[in-house]
Amino acid sequence: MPVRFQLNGILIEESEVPPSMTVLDYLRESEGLKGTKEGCAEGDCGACTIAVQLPQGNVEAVNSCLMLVPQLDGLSVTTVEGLSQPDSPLHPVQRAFVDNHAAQCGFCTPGFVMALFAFEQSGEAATAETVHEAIAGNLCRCTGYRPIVDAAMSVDCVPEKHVPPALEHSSHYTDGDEDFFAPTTLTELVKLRLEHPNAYVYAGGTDLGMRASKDRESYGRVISTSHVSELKRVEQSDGSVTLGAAVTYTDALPVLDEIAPSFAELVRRIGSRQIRNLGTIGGNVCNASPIGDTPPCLIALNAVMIVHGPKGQREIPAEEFFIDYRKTALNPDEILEALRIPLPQPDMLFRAYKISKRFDQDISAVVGAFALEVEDGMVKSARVAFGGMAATPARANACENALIGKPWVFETAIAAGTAISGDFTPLTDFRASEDYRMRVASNLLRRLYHDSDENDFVTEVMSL
Amino acid sequence: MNENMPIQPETVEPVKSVGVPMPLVDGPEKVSGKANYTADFIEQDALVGRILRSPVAHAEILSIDTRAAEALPGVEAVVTGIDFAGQFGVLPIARTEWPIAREKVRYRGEPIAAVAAIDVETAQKALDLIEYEYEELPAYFTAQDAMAEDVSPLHEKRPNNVERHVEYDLGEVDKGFEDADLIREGTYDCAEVCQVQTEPHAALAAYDGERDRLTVHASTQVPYYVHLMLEQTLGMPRSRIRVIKPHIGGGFGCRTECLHVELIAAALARACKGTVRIVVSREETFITHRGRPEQKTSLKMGMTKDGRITAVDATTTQRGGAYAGYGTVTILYSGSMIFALYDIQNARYNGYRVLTNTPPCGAFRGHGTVNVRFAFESLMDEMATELGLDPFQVRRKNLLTAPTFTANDLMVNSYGLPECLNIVEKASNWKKRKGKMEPFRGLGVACSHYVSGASKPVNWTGEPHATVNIKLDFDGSLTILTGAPEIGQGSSTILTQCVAEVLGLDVSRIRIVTSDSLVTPKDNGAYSSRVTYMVGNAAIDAATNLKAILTEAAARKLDVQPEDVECLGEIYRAGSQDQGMTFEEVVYAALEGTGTITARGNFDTIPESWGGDKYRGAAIGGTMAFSYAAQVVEISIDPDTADIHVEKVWVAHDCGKALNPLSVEGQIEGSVWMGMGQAMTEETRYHNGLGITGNMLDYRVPTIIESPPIETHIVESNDPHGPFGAKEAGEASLAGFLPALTNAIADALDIRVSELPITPDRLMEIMEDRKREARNADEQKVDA
Repeated sequence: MPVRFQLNGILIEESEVPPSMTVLDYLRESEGLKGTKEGCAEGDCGACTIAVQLPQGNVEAVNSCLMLVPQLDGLSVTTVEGLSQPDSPLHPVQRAFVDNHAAQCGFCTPGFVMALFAFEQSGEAATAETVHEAIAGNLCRCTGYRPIVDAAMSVDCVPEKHVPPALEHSSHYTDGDEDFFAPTTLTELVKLRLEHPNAYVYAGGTDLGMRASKDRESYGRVISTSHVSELKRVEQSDGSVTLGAAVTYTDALPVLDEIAPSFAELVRRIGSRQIRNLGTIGGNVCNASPIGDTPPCLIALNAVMIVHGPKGQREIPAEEFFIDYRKTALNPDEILEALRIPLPQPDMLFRAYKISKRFDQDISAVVGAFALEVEDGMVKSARVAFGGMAATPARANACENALIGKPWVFETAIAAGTAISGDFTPLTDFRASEDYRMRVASNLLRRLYHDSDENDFVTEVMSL
Repeated sequence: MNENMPIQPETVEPVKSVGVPMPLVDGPEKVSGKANYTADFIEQDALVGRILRSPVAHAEILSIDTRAAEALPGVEAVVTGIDFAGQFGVLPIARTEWPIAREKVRYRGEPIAAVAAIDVETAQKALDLIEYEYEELPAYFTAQDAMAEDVSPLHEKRPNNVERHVEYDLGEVDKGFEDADLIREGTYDCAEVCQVQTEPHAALAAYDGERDRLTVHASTQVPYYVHLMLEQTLGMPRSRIRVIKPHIGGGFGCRTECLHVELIAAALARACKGTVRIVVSREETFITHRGRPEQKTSLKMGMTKDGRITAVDATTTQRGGAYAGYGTVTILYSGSMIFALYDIQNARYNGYRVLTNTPPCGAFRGHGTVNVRFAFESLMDEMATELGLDPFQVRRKNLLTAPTFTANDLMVNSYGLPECLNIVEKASNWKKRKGKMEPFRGLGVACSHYVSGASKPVNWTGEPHATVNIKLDFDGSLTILTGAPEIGQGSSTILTQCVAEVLGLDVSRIRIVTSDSLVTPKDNGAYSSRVTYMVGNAAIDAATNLKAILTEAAARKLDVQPEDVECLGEIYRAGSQDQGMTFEEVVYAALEGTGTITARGNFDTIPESWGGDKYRGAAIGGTMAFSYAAQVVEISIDPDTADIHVEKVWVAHDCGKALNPLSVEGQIEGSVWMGMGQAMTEETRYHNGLGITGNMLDYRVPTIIESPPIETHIVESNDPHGPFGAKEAGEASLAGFLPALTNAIADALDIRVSELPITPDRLMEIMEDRKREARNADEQKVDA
């Protein structure tokens, strides 16, 4: 079944190219749209950024190097070539780049232009923060970025209100050797999983996509979760929030902002906006990396993984989900359906900290997540979880014990920080040394304390 | 201008171009995706070229069998080292690198064979079918190991693996130290860094078998050097070679020498009598490297109580990688430039360029100067603090007075450094804030400088340093023909502005064609910040010659002497009462009898700028003009994570004259920012010679969030020989960031950082050590 999408306003029905061809290769080699550049082939540099409009109408920037052609199904794609209009050869974003000297060598420029085009289409007001966030996934080596921000701030354009045409969905794209399944229901998904136990479950592809993009692997069989309606839900009930496993980071952000702003802040630092528009929390969880960003938060928040197999649904507490290095408690015939996060009580102190060498676009050295209930100045309960400190994301029991039942004062925080050395023996790798990981993990308790008491922070820093 | 309106001479004035903040002439192509980079020439008949790379760091190649690969359907050519006629390299005396390894491999990732096939999959399969045998040799990954006794040399001619040892004494060093009130020493380490230009290397080579002609598109800063190396390595007459540099996605020095990518693409194209495209991956771009070496500098400095430097003794060692590349130039630059920023009369230098089993280093922006400048400005600052002197005061105490020659005979005609210092001192409110910052905040200052092109080229041919042609024809449009490579630095815009200024014309009359050996004059390339100064002067010369032709033609028609003709750009007239002739009329008059006009302009350096003969290699560092910069960096440090946050940078750069302030600001900010990357996050790392940071995630170039506000001030010292007074703008401001940052850390924490990049884990370790020492000291006090 061909995939159907719009490319710069023209309807395309594609059935010729292999399913593991990246959108970047497709645009450049098959469509001759060479304005989209390859700088790294792994979603770090943003030179390949294009804008896609979803059937619901919103326009998002994505890394075309991490996307496979069948993922375009139903989308409306704009590349840098699609920005010029008959009456004005340059789009206002492009014009602003020329006028502000925001393009020097120009190689990263189309990617920046498209990231900012998508930003303009979102209707967000341009402030330093929003512009920074919009282009944190684009690397420039010439300018130092200031002229690019100036260009972004100077653009004043009204989002175009296009409604993309509804296109027939392709649930199975194949070239004979490779298959890309895109089921729309949970039942179909579970059935496909059972039939193809060796297929890759593709939940956004920001990690898996690198195999096609960078290593030029062909996958054989891929089952995409992106169109499964049950996996796309975001539901809030009295006591909890349920996030479908195929909900992108971007789509999860509004509800996370509401229930756990600190978690939302951390999610905003995952990769870049381009990555967050494709990547999913479900994918992050099932990847089960010890340095995944979301698992420590989910463990600290006491989230539950809802998994689904041929025998139906079962629930696994987040802390029991990660059983070994890159291994989950999922059976081979099961898929992750959703995550249920209990709503934090209003008096709960929840903070998540990501320590990495670069603020955005980096993998964590350490992630610390803390959920404390403090009543009358005493720590009633504490759930503390870390990533980057062991082979799996894990709770810090000694640290928790040093907190529970103690008054929430600076000394308690310091003692709990020291206690972490009883919980973990981290490794030295080139993201961080063992000593740094331990020291910073311990210091995060101090930070947590100061975050809970702004005034005290100033006094403390002054005395250091 | 509306063409139907009669021109009113009294309202016509020559159009100003110089000093005008003007967007790049090639901006519209770049922002619209229409600018073609080498990888964008996707020719229908182009084959895919792929390179097989060595899995070991040092080995003798015993055999290579390519028969199975050649037999694979879809494979059109396979080449190995024996298919080349000669070696390549930068200096004529050090061309030691085969485009594909022969007999030995000397670093992991060095090419050992290459194939051209109908598609990527076939090419990859063919590489897998190539069989080879090798015998591993001891490999050295640090300069220290490579220089040890009884090493197995990488190159026969360098038995101790030292590519070049530079040694000299200027003035009376020992006496200088005797005269000092304070002598201090320090050792400073900088990690290897890579340019990480956004465009991976690429080459497209087309061989015309019928005529034995070769056309190569290459992502290079030096198309002329590529041309020479193609001749040399392929054994082809240079007259049969054409080299084109399309748009390129940054250089910063990594493409300042010919790379094996373009040579291999050409060899494959010739072997299959077809067209071959090689676009290497980001990881291969890291392996190709040519970045700044890992470098250790030991520095000893003598100073009087009032801050005057009496003597300097510097020893520096660079881990150069497996081939000479620019190495000799780099180690010479480090020596000549470390002493030339200030007035230093007594200096000793020992520089070692060492061959190691790592990818070859090259000429990264600020070539040779950056790591030694870090050492120099750090120690100077530390000594100032110890003497109770303000860091600005110490720097002012050691300034040169232009015009002068430095102790190592480098010509200085314009010296805006004092003004740079004044500006950043004031702009940062230094006097009020220094030493009075909140805890974990600090301010630091440092200076730096750079050449405006090397006064002696690497390949001395007797030709002028730069040549520009301007073509003028019946349509009244001007076409600048120049070999000067536009690499994003804005050279095409600057050259257009120079020509427009001389002729008083709007830039819209002018087009520019660059870097195609078929049509443009030869140019040495875009490196060592030579283009604005040298090619800019040649462009002015060409435009002046053209103006003389036009003026003479106008004089003939107006029946006056040429000196009586006034050129107003669009109007040439004899006196203010004269109706005059339009530019088009003048052009027609000029074409009478001659047809199309090509005006040529040249530029040459003057012998005084060649660097004298005080020591061997003294010419490296000789330039027509130095640019100067001073910067203040303000930081805050997170005590919990040891994260350093750059709050703000104030930089002042003496570029002689800002021909295009928009572009000058862009160059200065870009330099400061790149210095920040080196100082804080960037480093290449190897495990047994295997690069482990060969991607844009693990090699951390700063993103927008890490990028501080940079307040840029332009200082115009009007160099007497510069084009309209201009000098270099794109390199000098880089080096100063590194020591300004560490000096700011010293201000914030009283910790002197001597190892870069200063990542959070390194700083945390130093802070913890410091706390431990303090605790131990306290305990000892209690015990006592």
